[in-house]
Amino acid sequence: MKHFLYIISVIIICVLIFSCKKVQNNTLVVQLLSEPEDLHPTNGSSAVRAELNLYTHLSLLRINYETGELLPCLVKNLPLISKDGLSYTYEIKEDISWDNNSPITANDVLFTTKANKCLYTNNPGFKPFWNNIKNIIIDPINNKKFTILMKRPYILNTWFWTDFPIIQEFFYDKSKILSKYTIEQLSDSSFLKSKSEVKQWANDFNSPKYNNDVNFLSGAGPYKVTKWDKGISITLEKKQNHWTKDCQENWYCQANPNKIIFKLNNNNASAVLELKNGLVDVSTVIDYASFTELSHDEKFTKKYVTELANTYNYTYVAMNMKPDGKKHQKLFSDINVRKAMALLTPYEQINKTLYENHNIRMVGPISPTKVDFNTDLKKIDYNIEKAKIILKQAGWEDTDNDQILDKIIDGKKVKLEFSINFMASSKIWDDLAKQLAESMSKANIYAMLNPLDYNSFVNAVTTHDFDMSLSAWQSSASPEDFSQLWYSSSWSNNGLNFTGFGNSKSDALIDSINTSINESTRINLSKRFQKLVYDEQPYIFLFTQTRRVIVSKKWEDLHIYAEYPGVLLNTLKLKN
Amino acid sequence: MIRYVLKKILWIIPTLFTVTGIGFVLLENAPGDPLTQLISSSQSSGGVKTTEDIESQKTFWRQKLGLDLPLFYFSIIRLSEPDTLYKVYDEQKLQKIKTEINQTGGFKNYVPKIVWYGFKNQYHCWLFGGSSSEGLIHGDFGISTIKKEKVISILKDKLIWSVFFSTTSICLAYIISIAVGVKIAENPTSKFTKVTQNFLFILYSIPSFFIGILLLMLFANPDVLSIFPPSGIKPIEGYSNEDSLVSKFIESIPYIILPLICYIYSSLAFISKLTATSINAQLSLDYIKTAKAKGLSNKQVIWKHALKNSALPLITTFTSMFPSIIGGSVIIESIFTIPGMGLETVKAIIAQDYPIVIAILTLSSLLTILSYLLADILYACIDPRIRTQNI
Repeated sequence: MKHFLYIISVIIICVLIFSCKKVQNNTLVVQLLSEPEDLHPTNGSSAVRAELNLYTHLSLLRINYETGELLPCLVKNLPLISKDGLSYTYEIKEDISWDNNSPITANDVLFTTKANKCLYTNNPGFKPFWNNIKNIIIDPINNKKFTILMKRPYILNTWFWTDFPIIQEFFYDKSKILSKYTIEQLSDSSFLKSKSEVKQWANDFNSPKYNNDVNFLSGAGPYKVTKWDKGISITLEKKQNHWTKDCQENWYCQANPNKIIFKLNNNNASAVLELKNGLVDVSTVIDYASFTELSHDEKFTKKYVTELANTYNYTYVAMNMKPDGKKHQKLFSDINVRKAMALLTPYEQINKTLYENHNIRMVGPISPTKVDFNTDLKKIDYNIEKAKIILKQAGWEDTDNDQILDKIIDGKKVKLEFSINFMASSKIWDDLAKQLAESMSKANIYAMLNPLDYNSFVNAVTTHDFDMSLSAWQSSASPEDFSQLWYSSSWSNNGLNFTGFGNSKSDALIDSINTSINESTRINLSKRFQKLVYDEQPYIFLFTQTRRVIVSKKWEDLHIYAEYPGVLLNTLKLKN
Repeated sequence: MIRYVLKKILWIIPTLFTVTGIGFVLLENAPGDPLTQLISSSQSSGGVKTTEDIESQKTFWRQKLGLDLPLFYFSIIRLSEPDTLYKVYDEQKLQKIKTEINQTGGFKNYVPKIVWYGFKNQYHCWLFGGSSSEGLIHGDFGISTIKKEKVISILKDKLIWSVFFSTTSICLAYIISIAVGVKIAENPTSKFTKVTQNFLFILYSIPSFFIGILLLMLFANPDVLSIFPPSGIKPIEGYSNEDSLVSKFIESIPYIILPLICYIYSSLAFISKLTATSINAQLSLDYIKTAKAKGLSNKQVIWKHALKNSALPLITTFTSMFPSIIGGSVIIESIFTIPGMGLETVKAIIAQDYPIVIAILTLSSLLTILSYLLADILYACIDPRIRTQNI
């Protein structure tokens, strides 16, 4: 027993000694909710990877977080666009170089395009984004100047470059294999069949070393990944004497903290304690209740800034407008029923109980923080009596006194009862569905809760096997391409148009928006489209989600933006 | 004895083949298409991708990953169904075809048919190697469809922490519980026995997520006591490259104490009660009376004689815990941010990363089979009568 007590005492002493180990000065510790699946420059799709790429890679263009406009990054100016919107001429800045001091040239842009478009490159999710590129012509005299030829005019022809880092040909293709082939050849499967050298290059390029080996993670950005402790943390370190030190006026050039450590913690309780202990400097992912509690804690707010930031993301309830009539009854085919559902949604109650009143109401498919948001669209408020009247006018009545409305549809008596699908992984969806169901029951509508795992949930909405479905969309500052969510073929092809919204008129409007080179025309058309969606109410539009930003007061120069990730970590400065 | 062990080892091969075969077929038939996850991008809108683009990508990657092959060596289908039905990947199209067959098949809908696909199937490739892996027999579990990395290298790091926590907690649980169990057996009516038993059973009834959060709130909270770090298993900046294994362990001590308490507390009540009951059963036997008559103290009788003979149920419990060594604990790993197997398994299941799930299933099956073998060997070592029976 004596020995046991002795061992315990030694352990406690060790604990007291080693728990005091603090991070080095000018090191920023950031809470990370989930780990990226990889840090490959082209292969990978997680948002966290995109966030890390902001600091380790550079693109032709970046987003100006203040204005939400495009900002030249590796190039001198925004591109010179031809009148037909098909060719975009760029010129890369002088005196900018890779880590081995070789200059960044148009060949690297061409290589980046080829690497992304090559059929064997393991980036299937992103390949379609590159489909619109026809060719890249490099100026024969100036190897920093190039023209990108596109297949069709499209609103995102310039914006899409903000998402893709430019990678160094010398680092990823020393033997210059891809330079032997054209962009078109590299995306032609029958041509590539006989080209084993391309396959070999792709096998190497796709290999895990470029996914997570810090010695093979190379980019043009001011930071470098120096450590990746799987499941624990990712460390970025500032590059010494990097060319970006001469352009500090641009956010993407700044590298104020010497080290940025992304520390994984997906448990809210321990994340709050890490903040309280001062172990983490930045968090944007604490839950709403904890954020409210911390922002009212005087002791905490002496050490941390707590601010809410708008985002472009929004939550919604999708209604199946084109059900099969067998498994799912034709309840929401009627616009009046959809409108009644919107009126039966207790918006304020949901915002108060689930989001601590922090979220902002959505009215249409575009966040109110965007420039093209249609301000003429009025919020639909919770109004149970109005909903009852609309339903009555639409022919819904409780004819058999079973407390559920019914109606004869296609010669058959149909009850106004349905299921609400939502992802079981999050309690917030469960609470939201319960509040919706409870509110609907007040109008004699029976809604059953149907929690599903992620795969079943996605499968149900894409195959139109649902009545009502709760979910959220993530968006960005870039102009909105409505085709994925609202194009009619995106419903018939089991795409992301879950509800069945759309007809030739709305499709034509989407096409016009997507090909509008003129910004004011695009905004006007976008407003018209929002009105179209608003009038049809395929969704009950709920809220734009707010980001809960917590930053230690040890750091200054804090700016908070609607664009992901909300806080630009490289611009934070340690207070003297 | 050796013959017996060899026989048992030989049985491992068909057992593992059957378990992995069933697991493989069941997993691959789960709802949803793993390629949907692979193809989907983080951006929900704002792209130029079309459904045709996505379909062509799916076709390409299905072939590359060998997912276009039949699942197993054979399948049992209806006589009315074509042999190539496995080539229809679209759930809706498949349903349409099946409905049509139901309507037109007639009596053939009720007659089963076995279709032999030969050795070019997904399971065979996974076992013996194919286009994307060298096969299980070469120690290659394939490539993760989501992380695009060798499964074994993904699981390696996670396994280390799960095995560390599981083995340490099992050892600690046994050491503490046997000591407590013996103490209880020595004097079953003492105040210590009553207090300890009640305390341990109260602990046993509390769920691990509650204990985990409670420990954090008490010992990692600056508002109460901030002795331990709230999450992780090592200092934020990691270990230094020069650190030895011992110094790495010492640096991690503050991080592993709270999770370890969570891992072991629930076993304490069970094992100590089992130890005490088993010893008590032995204490009434004649050989114990003889030992006491020879003048041995109560402590000596229990530790030297009764404990050894009451070890069989403890071994059974130990071997039943053995497979959990690689299982990890989702709740504890989630609360303390431990990069273990529990969370990895859940993530892989959610993401339909079948190569990882099937690898974990195989390892768990292997460990379960080995644990039974270990139990048999330990029984035989402790009780010669069992050895004689088996031979």
